[in-house]
Amino acid sequence: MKKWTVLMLCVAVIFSVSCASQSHKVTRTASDEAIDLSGRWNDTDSRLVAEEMIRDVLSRAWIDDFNGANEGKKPVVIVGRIRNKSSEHIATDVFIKDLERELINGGRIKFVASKAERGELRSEKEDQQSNATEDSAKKLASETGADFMLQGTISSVTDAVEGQKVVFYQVDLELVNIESNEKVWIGSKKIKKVVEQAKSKW
Amino acid sequence: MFQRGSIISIMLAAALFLVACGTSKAQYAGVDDKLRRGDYVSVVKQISDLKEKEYGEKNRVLFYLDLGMLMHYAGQYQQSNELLTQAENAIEELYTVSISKEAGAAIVNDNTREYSGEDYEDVYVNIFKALNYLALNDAEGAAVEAKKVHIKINKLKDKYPIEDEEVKKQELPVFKESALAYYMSMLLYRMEKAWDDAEIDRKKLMEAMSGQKGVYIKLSNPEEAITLEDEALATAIPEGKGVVSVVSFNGLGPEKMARILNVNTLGGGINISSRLDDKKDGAKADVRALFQYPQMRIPIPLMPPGYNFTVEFPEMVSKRPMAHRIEVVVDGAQKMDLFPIENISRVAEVTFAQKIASTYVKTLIRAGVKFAAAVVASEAANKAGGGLVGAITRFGTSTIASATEKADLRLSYFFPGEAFAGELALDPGEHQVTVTYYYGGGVIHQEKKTVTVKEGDLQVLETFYLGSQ
Repeated sequence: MKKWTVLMLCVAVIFSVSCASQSHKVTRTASDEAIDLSGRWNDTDSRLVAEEMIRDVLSRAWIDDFNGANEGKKPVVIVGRIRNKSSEHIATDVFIKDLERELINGGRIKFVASKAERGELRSEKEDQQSNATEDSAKKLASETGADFMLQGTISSVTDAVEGQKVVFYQVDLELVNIESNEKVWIGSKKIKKVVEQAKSKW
Repeated sequence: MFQRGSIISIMLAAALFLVACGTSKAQYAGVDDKLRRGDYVSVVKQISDLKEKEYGEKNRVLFYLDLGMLMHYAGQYQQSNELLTQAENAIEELYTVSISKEAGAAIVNDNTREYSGEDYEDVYVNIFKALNYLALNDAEGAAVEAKKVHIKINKLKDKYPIEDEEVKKQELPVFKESALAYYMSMLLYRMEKAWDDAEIDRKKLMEAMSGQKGVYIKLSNPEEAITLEDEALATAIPEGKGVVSVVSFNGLGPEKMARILNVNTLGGGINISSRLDDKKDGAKADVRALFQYPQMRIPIPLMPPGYNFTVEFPEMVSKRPMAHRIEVVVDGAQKMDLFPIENISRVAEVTFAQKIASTYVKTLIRAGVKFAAAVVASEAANKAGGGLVGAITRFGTSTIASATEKADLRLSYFFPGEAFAGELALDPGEHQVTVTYYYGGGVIHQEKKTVTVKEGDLQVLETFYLGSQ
């Protein structure tokens, strides 16, 4: 009798444990802290790649060449399309914002609003022509045109077996002279991640 | 003496298990008719309402797959993508097996595990996500999904290597490339005007069909192979034209049914008979015998008579689609039949067959231990307490042991059975496209769509009819 009861209670405990649910725990952390959970492209990758690539682009000869040819004028840059050709959904708008921030903070270039942002600004300027006072209304057709456009791609190669995968990301950026289509800088940043998943847990 | 309390404690413990013992299919009651009528909204409501009652946390992958696919058919592409992504992430997360839940499965049955999806579900989830992204005009997102399909199929090749002795011995057909996945990526490369990449995928599509004879067979007629002439599919968009690619899905995917083995002990031997049960009516099993093995008698010396056990194994069974032919007519004049490109049900069967051997072994060991324990306990009770106690114990232990041996029949319900495709080069401008599904000479479903063709562009038009026989 006792043996059977103990056996059945043990089985019942195992069964109950398997049905137990996990509770949530929230911990606040610094926004620049590197946290890798799934191994997918994340905010840390975006930030680090942007920092490194913009540091590179701002340290190259094209800026001095432009300054020399234009009486010390700062080059005006716009960030164009960054195409995601990887096997992950990557928030390229976050990456573009990281690039824009690093470009502006570098202080060596001027920066203009993107195509989508310009649309809203133009609409506002048009509205001002009829509704704002003459001295405060901003002039139409007075925008600063960009000299260079930064374009690029994010690609990835994944090699995976059961429980393990290696993901290789390559970010390629090119800075192109808008007037001449001349490429003045090409940069590439590579990231390799090994993601392992345990076969079992308690 | 084997006390009455022992029997009660066994019964109580067993009752605990029985609560979560078998697979319920109650959530699918009446859905076939609604799908035939194209009433996807009503099926979405039915499945959503039963989230807690019939699915729960343990079957979240099943819920996300079921509702995600239904949302796709209902044209709710954003929600479909969110749900299918949740399914995909949960499948990945459940690769890590919980030892405590495995212990439950080892004692009770596979239904105690969290449902982690079948291989084919994990592959095709990305095909439908790609179609969702295309419907949302996000070709870049669709391309991401197409790449994921290829990564997952490569993983399958490593999971079930063809060099594996077991696979070789059983001569099972192996799924190692998907023509549908290559067709999707070929379409996306053509949209990007990446002609070389598109041509590579076109060749791989042809190789997938010709190199997997056991997989590329028609769902409506398994005797007939799915083949495609090399010139039937071109990557180039003719000068001055635009291309409309029609991708159509037909019928429902397979269903898991229970192969029930009845084991009756006779003096000095056992009788084994078998039947197939679809268990469609929820907790109450539909006991129609769909297939009957010849009864077998196996002599076992000293086997006591009078025990009756049942054990169940899952079996993947394809459903025949109602439509046998799909025709496309443009502006009432230009006609063509779509060609079958993938038998999704067959891929499900083939990938399931590669892993089922281990399920059979585990089930037989578990059931054997339960049945042996039942026989030993009953015989001890019979010896100690006499005929009546022995008879009650024999009945009780046999019933409990059998009741806990239920097959894991969980499988998403709403993947289609097969895929068709076809392409039309049209002049720029607006066109009326009519897609008709035929059974014999009769029309069973028709969809009419207006497409605006631009020169040099390619667009995808998706249709589906999920009616199955």
